[in-house]
Amino acid sequence: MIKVENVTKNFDSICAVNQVSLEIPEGSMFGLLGTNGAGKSTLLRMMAGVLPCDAGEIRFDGERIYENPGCKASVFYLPDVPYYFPNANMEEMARFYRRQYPAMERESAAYMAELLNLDMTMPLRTFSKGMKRQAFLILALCAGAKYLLCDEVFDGLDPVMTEAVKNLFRQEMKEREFTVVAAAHKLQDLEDVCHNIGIMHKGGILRAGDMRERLGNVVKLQCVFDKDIREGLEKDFEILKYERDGYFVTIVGRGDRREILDKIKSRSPVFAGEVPMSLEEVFMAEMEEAGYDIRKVFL
Amino acid sequence: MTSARCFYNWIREAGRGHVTAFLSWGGFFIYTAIAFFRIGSDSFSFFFGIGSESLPELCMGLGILAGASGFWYLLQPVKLDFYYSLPVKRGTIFWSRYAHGLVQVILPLFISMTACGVYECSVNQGFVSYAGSYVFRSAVIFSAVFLIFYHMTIVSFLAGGRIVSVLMVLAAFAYGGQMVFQGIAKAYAEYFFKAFYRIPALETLKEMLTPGLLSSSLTGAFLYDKREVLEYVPEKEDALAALLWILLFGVLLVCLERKRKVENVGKVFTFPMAERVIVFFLSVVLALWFGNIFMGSGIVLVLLFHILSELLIQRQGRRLFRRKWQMLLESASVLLVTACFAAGAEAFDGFLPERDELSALGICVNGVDMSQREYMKNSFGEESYETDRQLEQYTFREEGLSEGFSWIEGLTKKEEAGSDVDKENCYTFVTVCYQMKDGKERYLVYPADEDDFRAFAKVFETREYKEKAYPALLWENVGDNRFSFQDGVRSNQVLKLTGEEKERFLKLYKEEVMGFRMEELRGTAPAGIVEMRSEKWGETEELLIYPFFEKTYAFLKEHGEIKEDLLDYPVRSLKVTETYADKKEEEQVTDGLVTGSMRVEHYETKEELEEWRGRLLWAELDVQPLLCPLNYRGGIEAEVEEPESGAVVKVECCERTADR
Repeated sequence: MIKVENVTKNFDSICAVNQVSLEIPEGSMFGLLGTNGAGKSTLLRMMAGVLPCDAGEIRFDGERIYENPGCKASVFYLPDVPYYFPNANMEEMARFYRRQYPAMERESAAYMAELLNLDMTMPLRTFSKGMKRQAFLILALCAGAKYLLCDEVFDGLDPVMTEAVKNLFRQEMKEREFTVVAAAHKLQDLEDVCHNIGIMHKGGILRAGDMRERLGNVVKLQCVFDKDIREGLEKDFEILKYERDGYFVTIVGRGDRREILDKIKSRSPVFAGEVPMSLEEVFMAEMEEAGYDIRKVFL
Repeated sequence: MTSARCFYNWIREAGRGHVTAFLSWGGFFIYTAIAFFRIGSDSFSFFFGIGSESLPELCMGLGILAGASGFWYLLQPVKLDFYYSLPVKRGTIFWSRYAHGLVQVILPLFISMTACGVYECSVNQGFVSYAGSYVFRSAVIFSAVFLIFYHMTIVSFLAGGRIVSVLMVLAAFAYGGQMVFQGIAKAYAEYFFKAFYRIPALETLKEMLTPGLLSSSLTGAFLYDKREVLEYVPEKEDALAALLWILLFGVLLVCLERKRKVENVGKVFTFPMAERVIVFFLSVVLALWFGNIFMGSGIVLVLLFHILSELLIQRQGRRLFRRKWQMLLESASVLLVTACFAAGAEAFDGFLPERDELSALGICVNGVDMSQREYMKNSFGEESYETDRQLEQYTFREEGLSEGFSWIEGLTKKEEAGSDVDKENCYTFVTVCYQMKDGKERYLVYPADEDDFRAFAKVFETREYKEKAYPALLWENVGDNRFSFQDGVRSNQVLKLTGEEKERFLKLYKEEVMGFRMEELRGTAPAGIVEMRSEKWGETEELLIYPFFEKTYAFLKEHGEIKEDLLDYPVRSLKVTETYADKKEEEQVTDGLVTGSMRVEHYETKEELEEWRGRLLWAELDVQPLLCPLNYRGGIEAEVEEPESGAVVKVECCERTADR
């Protein structure tokens, strides 16, 4: 388990990460979502033991990560721009990683590379951005580390490859105790693969947790009314979002689904029906409810 | 993985790219190949280890290059993230790279020294007895040179966040000492102290704190005598300074490596303290340095350099005055340094030790016992080779010390009394080295007028002075020596003397040298030189023969063909070159070959040459420019037929002038 407790990091007068606390259970995939400059990469670098925390601490299975090779042996960090030695190819990098991560499986790396049509003998510098990303994801998955920290993990991958990589993650998590922390700035990249998601903004975590659980008591309704009914409804249940466009009203509310529908129907709508919600809408609703102007965060 | 195995793996990892190995093994291979060639061709004047001029440069260069190639990663944020995310302590990465650089340079150095030693043993049998010790000492000393620069470079890479700042820090370490002690302290001393010639402590500090100079001194790069080189052991002070450099920077390495923050890479400096220190150093040193040129503008300059440094670091003009206290401290430092020199001027210029405090006294009177060219070249308070040579030659410990001290006391009293003799218009000047009983040396320079110079006769006429000026006085048992007479035309006219005659000649010469007075030299140049060569020891001594040495001169005339005038030889032509600084003067000249501001005149007929009778003198006989000033014009050259061989000899001459 990864435990991040009240972690703070300042770069001179800028607070890059501010009092962040997280708990990431084993065998799960945790998504870190946020705009550029939100503090995702800094948090990941601290989690990888690259940067020390100014305050707070980060523990992997109870052990501090910073300057602790024993603990670091179970963590593989894949940065936004991965480093490779000049003229090195995948084979050479795999050999290097094997010296650092004894559980590294070079045969598996070769097998995966073949599946993704990557030539292990070609210098990495000749690879495109997406190919490099694939190559390092393969190396990361084959390193045998218990924890994988990825920054902008799906950046540069086409949709097919993104899906393939997600499948690789799922497969790996199924086969062994494997925990992934992935940072991204697009929710779509994470929503179908992450169990938990944390939203970072200006160095702090706005929301974190299993968003599907939260989805359980959130209902989205599309109705047609001949008058404004908001005032009355606010007394009946918790409204997360209320949008009116002429007679057409979109309502996102929290509470018992049946009860909410009954309350709506009691107001004699011309039409009322439930529509499915995407994780993104849940987030937006959550964020707006928390008082954040979500457009400033994501748009 | 055990930590030892991990460390070993990372040493191997540090060799990735093989840059250090290529530079070091390649460099030493080339050096060894050249050394083999040089040893084979001339093993007596070539030194492959201590005494070598190129090996210190190779070791210094490798120190910088090995440091740069091994620790370049400290400036690469992506590489740092990569390394620091791996399951290894960052100290392991750092020190494994340190060890790799060390091994890659020290190992080929030892191999190269050993190979050269073995080869020289096969070529030069005389080297065999020194071989082991010389090779070992060389390897250790050059390893120390490498370590100084290696540590210095790594510290620069740790302190700097960008390559420009790394280079700046490295330059400050490499040349800071020289700038401070030569560019500032010496320049300020020259400006404020009227009697300044040299402060040995400044020279020592400059050498100790300038790694390049220290390395040169440590490795004996200034030596040229084979035996001295083979037996050379660095001075204790040099060895201690080298050790301090290595240790101090070693401690800095340890501290900075631990405290360096990866997030500061990309900033100008990775430590705020380094930034402060460099800004302080640059502002103060540059202000004092330029302040020396524009004296009195130190405060303005220090503020200017502080703002410039801040501008370079921040690259924006909003917070240039963020460190007001530092600016204040910098201004105070500049003021303090300037004030200290100004306040110390009186004490420095007025320094006169008690006679009892002196163990020796070195005196150099500009214009005495030197050529006209040396005399003209020397200027008040400026260091020169000739002045240093004379200070060493004319170091008095007995009666010369007493007379010399009394004479100098007279000079200083005159100055205290407000004499208007100044350094620009003085007749001559005297450079003095007070050697104190506690081992310290104080150098001062005093102006002297003509009366002071006349009073110098008391020193000149002491036995101690004469022995130093005419070392032949100390020679004895010269019966087996070879005597020859030189006058510019005949360079090696051997005097056919019996052993007894030689002894008699030297006795006469000694009597006349001891008997003559300084005033007798006024307007009188030597007539020739007798070279006395010890066949047994190979030493030579030149005896200046003055016409007023009546007995000696008569003896020489009796035993050899001595010409009184150069024109007594068959002179074929005389070429006189005149140079004109003033264009108008040049235009007035109508005959002769005129080129630019130079005019060349040839005298070839008997009548023309006769006009020069009594005026020409072989330039080697120009030894007393104050007492017997001579005129070189733009150059006077005589073509003379050597009577015995008939060969035409070119004799560089000067012209006798009337006494000043």
